[in-house]
Amino acid sequence: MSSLDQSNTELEKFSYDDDIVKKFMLATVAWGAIAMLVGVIIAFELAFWRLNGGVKFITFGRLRPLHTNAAIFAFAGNAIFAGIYYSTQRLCKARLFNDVLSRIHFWGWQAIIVSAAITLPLGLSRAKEYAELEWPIGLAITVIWVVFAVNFFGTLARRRERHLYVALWFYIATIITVAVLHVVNSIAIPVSWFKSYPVYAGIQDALVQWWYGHNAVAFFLTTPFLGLMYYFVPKAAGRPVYSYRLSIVHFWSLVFIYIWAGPHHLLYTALPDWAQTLGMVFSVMLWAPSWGGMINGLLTLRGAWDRVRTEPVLKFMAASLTFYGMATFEGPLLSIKSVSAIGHYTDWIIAHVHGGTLGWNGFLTFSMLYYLVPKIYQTELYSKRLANIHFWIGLVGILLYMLSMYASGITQGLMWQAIDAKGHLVYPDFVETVTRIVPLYWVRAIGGTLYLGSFFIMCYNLYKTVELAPRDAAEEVFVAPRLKPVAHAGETAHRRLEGLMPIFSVLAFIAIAIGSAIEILPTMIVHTYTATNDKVQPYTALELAGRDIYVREGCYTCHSQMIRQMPSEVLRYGNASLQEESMWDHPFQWGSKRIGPDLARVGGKYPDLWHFRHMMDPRSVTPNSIMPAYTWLFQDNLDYDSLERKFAVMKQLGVPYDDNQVMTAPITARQQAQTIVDSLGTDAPVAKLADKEIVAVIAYLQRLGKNPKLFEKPTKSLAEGGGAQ
Amino acid sequence: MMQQILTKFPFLHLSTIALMIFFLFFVALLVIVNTKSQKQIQKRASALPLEDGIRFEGTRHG
Repeated sequence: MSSLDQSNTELEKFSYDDDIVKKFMLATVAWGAIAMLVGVIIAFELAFWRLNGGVKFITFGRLRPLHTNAAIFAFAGNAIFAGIYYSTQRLCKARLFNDVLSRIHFWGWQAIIVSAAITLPLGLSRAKEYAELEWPIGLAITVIWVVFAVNFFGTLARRRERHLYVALWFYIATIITVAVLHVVNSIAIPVSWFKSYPVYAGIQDALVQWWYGHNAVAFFLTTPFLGLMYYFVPKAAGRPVYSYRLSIVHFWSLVFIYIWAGPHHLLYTALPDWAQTLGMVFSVMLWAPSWGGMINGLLTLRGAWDRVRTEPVLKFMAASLTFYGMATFEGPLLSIKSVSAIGHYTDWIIAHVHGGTLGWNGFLTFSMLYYLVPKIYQTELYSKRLANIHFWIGLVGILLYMLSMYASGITQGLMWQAIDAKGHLVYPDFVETVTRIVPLYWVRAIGGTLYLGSFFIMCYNLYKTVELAPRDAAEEVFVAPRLKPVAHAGETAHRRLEGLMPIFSVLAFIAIAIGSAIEILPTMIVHTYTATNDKVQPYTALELAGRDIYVREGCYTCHSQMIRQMPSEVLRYGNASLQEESMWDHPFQWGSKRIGPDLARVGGKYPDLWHFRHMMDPRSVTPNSIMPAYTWLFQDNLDYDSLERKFAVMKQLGVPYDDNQVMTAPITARQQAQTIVDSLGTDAPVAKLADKEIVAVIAYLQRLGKNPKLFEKPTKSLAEGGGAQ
Repeated sequence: MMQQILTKFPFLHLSTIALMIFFLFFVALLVIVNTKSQKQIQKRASALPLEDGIRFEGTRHG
């Protein structure tokens, strides 16, 4: 204890709550296995479309959100909590604020994950990426996050170490920002216990969603892991942080800049140009703080490089920092508009995010587990050899995954954009690009399987390590002097700030609030000008029902509804999408990936019967398609009765339905359904077809892009000077 | 009208002010972290992860 304010003070005895750390570590391993297993299953489903066996609960569209949510919130989330609770206690030299709160946090979080694992395969989804969970679960997340925050800040308040170490700053930024992101992005009006519509629509929803989506990566998969990196890398290397000065600059720059970068997910879309440019510029600026952090981490290993070769913990850490550097180099690169033009909607993005999650988050988590399990159980790692095998198999798995997806993504990007000398698309048939990359999907699936296999090696190794733990191990007791208030004379501003947790937290909030406000607030009012026009008619009741099925099935995971302002896109799909076209879309369905073609203007492109056959057996109308058959749409009855309530909620959200339309929604839906059934005639031999969900899906798909008034050229009267030219 | 304004966004002063705030904050941060009085504090802070606290060697409770 070297602080002046801590000398000559009576020592206090305390112990750390490592039981909660053990619980979160166990959950990390258990949910990690499930998240990765689901990832491998859906990877094989893309390579082999029959794999879902016709079971609706395990289609790619329903499992992909489960995979992402499990990987982010279950695997990475539990790892974060384990690492934060372990390191915060040591950095504060204090036991966690409240043992009961710790247990509520743990069990509450696991209950949320179980709820997600049940509801997402059932199709109960909000269709907002990484925020798919329906409103009751969203509320539960808020409550448990508050419990976590109280427990964390309570621990800081009771600390016996005056200085708030940089890792704690990253944790503070994480807790504050994730709370803001989650609350703002989750605001919705419930239709029922398992269905809600977000208050945002179209372009608003897109911007809010990607402000959330990007910063979920930033403040759930980056800042907490950077905090863990600043704690565990020095700890494992036995060396102080290379440059504490750099870590201060790293923290503030990263927190301020990251929040602006969301719009780079929407380049060339209908998002206003200024927002796109802001997103791009700030993304490029992120290079500096990201690499500053990576270099600080790697240079902390100075003098310990010889041990990197032999110590699995350091080996995983060095590799994870390298992957962090690669991912944060590639991210800004992909945010440059001309690069995004090729990379967006393709598997390049999949390669990028998996480099980050498998390499950076995964490997850092593994290094933390290899460090913590022997430490907490007061024993030695069972087998360094197995840990090294885990490392090399996992690394080969990541490389196979990433290289195949790079090849696939660049192939897609180039084929989609290829235009011949006469101005025609070289590959006009979308499925041509799909068949070209299916072999790469197999390679990706094998890479994922290797990574999962290596993960199970770690599970075995850690299990055997725990078995080695001494049965009579006593809880360690520590002593430290109580922290007393001191005068701040002679301290610099930042030094004072580091000791003032509430003010520090407020400043961190301001840092993220500036970028958020400037980007989102103007877009919030962009719809005011269209509120009274009649160019875009809201969906009919049957179309809305079809849209809800589209959302339920996770169609947005494979199909976009946003034609970018690029010649090749306009040639392939039609006019570039306009802001107004999605103005009644709660939630927006622009998507982020094209495993299948864009659907923004699919309405009227094919007859109803084509869609009927396509959903029954995609290969009957599109040979070589990898889309699964949606046979249950022909068996399950449509819920007409809920349409009145859905229309009422939409009206509440500002969609221009009158009271009569709300009351008669089920009736008008049945009438439209009968019209579609009549158009299908005897070619659609399904009993009571008008009652089936497929009819609503056809109605919705046939509506997409059908806003002819939007593209009418304005006609000027003579009085307005229309005949003057 | 509103659409045109927001699409083209002539309110460049807003984002310019934000950038300037960041720039000034960044410069101030550089000045602060490089002051001489920070050196000792930073040296100790950088080694904080290496401290677990002092183990109490007296009675242990299991």
